Amino acid sequence: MHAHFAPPLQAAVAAVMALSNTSSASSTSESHALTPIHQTATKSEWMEAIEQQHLERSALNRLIINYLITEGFKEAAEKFAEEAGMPLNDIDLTSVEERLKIREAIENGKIQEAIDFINKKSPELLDQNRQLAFHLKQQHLIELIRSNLIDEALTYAQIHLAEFAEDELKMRQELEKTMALLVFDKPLESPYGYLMQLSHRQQVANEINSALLIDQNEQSESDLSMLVRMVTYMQDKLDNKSLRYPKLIDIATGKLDDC
Amino acid sequence: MPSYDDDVPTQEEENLLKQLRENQEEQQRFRVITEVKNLVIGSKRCKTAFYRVGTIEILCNLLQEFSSIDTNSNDLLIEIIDCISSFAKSSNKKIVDRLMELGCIQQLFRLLSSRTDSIQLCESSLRCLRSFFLPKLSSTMFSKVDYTNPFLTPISFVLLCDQHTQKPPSLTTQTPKLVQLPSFEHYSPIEILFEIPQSLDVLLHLISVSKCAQLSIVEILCCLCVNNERQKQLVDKDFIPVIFRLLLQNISEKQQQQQNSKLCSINLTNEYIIGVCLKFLCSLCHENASIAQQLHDTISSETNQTLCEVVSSLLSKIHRPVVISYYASKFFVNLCKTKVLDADHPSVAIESLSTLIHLCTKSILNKCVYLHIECLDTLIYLLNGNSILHKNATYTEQLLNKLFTYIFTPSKVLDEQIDELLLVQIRSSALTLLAVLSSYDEEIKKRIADEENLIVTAIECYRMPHVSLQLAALRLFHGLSRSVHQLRTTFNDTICDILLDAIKSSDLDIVKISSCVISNIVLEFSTCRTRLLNGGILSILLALLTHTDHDLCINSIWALRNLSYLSTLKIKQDIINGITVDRIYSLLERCTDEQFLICLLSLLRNFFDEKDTNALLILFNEEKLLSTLQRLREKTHPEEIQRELITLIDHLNSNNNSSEQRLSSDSVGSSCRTSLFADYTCDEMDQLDCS
Repeated sequence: MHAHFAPPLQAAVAAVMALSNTSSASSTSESHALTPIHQTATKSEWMEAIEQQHLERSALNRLIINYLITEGFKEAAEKFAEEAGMPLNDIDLTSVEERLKIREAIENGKIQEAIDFINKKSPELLDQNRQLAFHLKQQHLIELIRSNLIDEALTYAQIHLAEFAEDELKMRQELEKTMALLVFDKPLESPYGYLMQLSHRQQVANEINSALLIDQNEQSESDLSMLVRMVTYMQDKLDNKSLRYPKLIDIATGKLDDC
Repeated sequence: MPSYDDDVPTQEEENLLKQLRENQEEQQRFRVITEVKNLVIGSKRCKTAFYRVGTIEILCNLLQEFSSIDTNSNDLLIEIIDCISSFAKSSNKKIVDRLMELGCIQQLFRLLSSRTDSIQLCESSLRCLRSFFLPKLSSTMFSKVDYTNPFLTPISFVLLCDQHTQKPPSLTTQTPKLVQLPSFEHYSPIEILFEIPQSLDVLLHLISVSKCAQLSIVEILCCLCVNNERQKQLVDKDFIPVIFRLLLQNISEKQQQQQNSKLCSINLTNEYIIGVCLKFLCSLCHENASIAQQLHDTISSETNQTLCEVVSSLLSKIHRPVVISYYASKFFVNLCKTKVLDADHPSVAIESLSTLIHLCTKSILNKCVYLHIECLDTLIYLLNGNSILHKNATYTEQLLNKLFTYIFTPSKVLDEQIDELLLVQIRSSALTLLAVLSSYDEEIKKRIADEENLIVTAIECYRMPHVSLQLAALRLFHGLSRSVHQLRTTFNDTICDILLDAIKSSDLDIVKISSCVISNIVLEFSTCRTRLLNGGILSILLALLTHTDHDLCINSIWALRNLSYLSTLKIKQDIINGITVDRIYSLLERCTDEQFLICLLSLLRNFFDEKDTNALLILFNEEKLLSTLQRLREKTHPEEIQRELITLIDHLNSNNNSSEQRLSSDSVGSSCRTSLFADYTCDEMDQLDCS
């Protein structure tokens, strides 16, 4: 596996560092409707400043491994660690593998299997968090609807999901939306079609993954995603101060705005 | 939709349970138990339905059966225990009681004593045990935990000794021991644990098994600290040095982890263990002065640091997870409340106070409402009775502004979807904290009373159907009533009417607090006096004199005393006629309650002021009164009562009734206090003393 991440990731990290310096320097300036927009730097000056930021390769590698471990990409993490020459001695790879198994089960629509894995790994999780239990069972209901097993879906909803609807308004509303899928001939094209999208499986998988990490006393979010949020946050701060700067408009590609 | 309370298992579930009952080969049994477990975990309906058909009995029998088998049945045991553990988390009391009746806790301890070969089995058993002890919190409280927030902890955030269902340890030790009943109705898991021989030794032994075991054990220990007796039992088992060692070990590992740049992911286990160790230390010394002193004097044999030094070092910054900062602060709060540390000790006045204020005013806690409430309640606990900290607390204004926001628009600070009961709780705590802050310093009182719409909002809070909000509003009025300026400006007819309503409430706490307020606002210069008198306050106070609640009696006599101060002859006569002269004599002869006696003597002193002595002495028979007071003087009463008696006797003896013969109110009335909060003894939250 090759580290193709480097340019945009490097730009993001360097942008955070540059923004951090800009934001603190501009901290005394007040945002005012009539205040003219201040230019902090031209694009070339900005790129020059970015180039001057000292970034260690090991820091970038650590970020990548941290992301892969957090998201449960065990094989990718192992291969990358091998190529980057970084030992994974302190990482519980078994735990990573278990999370990956759970993620894969959810993303493949095998929810009961996922529940079985979750209860083996973290037997208290679904009792401690009703919302998680509900979302898993809701996803199972969606899978039954997707497979056109209408009778089974109705029975399942009545037996396993009704109790959640009694408990909480938000869950009842979500259940109602899910049940509404049964009314439509083409549920994917209905107003609640988003529930049937594969991205909804990923959403549930992400939620479960974060919960499992916290349950295992681990950091629930990768440092990389925190970094991306930091860039967005700092750019918002600079925007609020009416400062003009080459904004990072596409995190994925590292594309900067012309200013 | 049918209520799942009445549900029984479906046909499919029944078939599964039938397989559970049948004797089968181990692998099949394992599969069946796993399926039952997967149905039960996360489902209230299944728990109740399966309970109805005796599933719990089957599981407990299986637990017993496989615990005693020598063959390696650890995996099967773990499945059974995880299933039982799920039942033990149920909020259905019958299920948990049944598990205890069946001897589940005892069986788990037997297993933990005998089968120590498997770490996973130990961890599973300890988690199951823990499930019996941790409170069953409402699902709404934890269903919205944001698992992307690294500052939160997934562990139930409750300090058991602070729960409303538990009395403060000092009160619990005073209640008579319950008669042992043959059924388990009155048994708690705590009582069961302490009855099991060497249960604490087992926990002590297992603490080194793994980090997961440590977390479970220390959490159980936290839950055991329900009264002074239990706290002492834990200390006698030497848990202090063990937990201190655990604390140091995990702090050291945490520091190493931070320094180690090779690690690719952050594990927060050390932090959670630190948090739970601190929680245990807080529980251990809660309202227990001798243990608090012991903790204060504890020194590590390895590092030579005192426990206080170690905890103080954790307050140098706000930690992730924030429970560390919270419990470190709470530790010093508990040492202060037990008088082991003075309120102006830096660990209390600077470190803990500023940390608690930071925790409940900064937005990172927005998604952990319960922590907000805990911080506010801990601040109330600390600041009540420690007025020297009030100025510090309000110094930067951030606390007051945040409290106002919590009261006016809590949903702006917190998640807008928040449960209504939690909103009520946070508003109550914020109002009560304002009440505490307003109780002493005049400037702070003025700042609070002048806040736009605060008094109106407090009045609205009283009118809401939540007792906690009503109490909080009344407490705020009480705090403000301890000011001459506020009595003349803030207290209006609406508040008077509220108080007249509150003093007739069926809720004793509301009556008590309103009586505290009334005892101040009946004073001569108060704008409320006339309205209260017209509203029949005199007859109400006279009736409360004979109430069974001691604090209420004291408040009533105090209020009558204040009412009589600089009062008209008619009011004095009405009071005398209401109590009756015979009863006054009877009380003087027989009353052994010192507080009551002081108030009664001051009341008499107020009766016989310069202009009314002659008119009122006729009612009493001067000679009889003097001889009664003389006889009282010959008894061994405390100095304050003696001084009051001397003043009164001299006053009556002197025909001039010179006002120079009155002692100053400060020197006489200082011991006559009534607590604002029933659960806290307090020297500061008293009524105005004007005699």
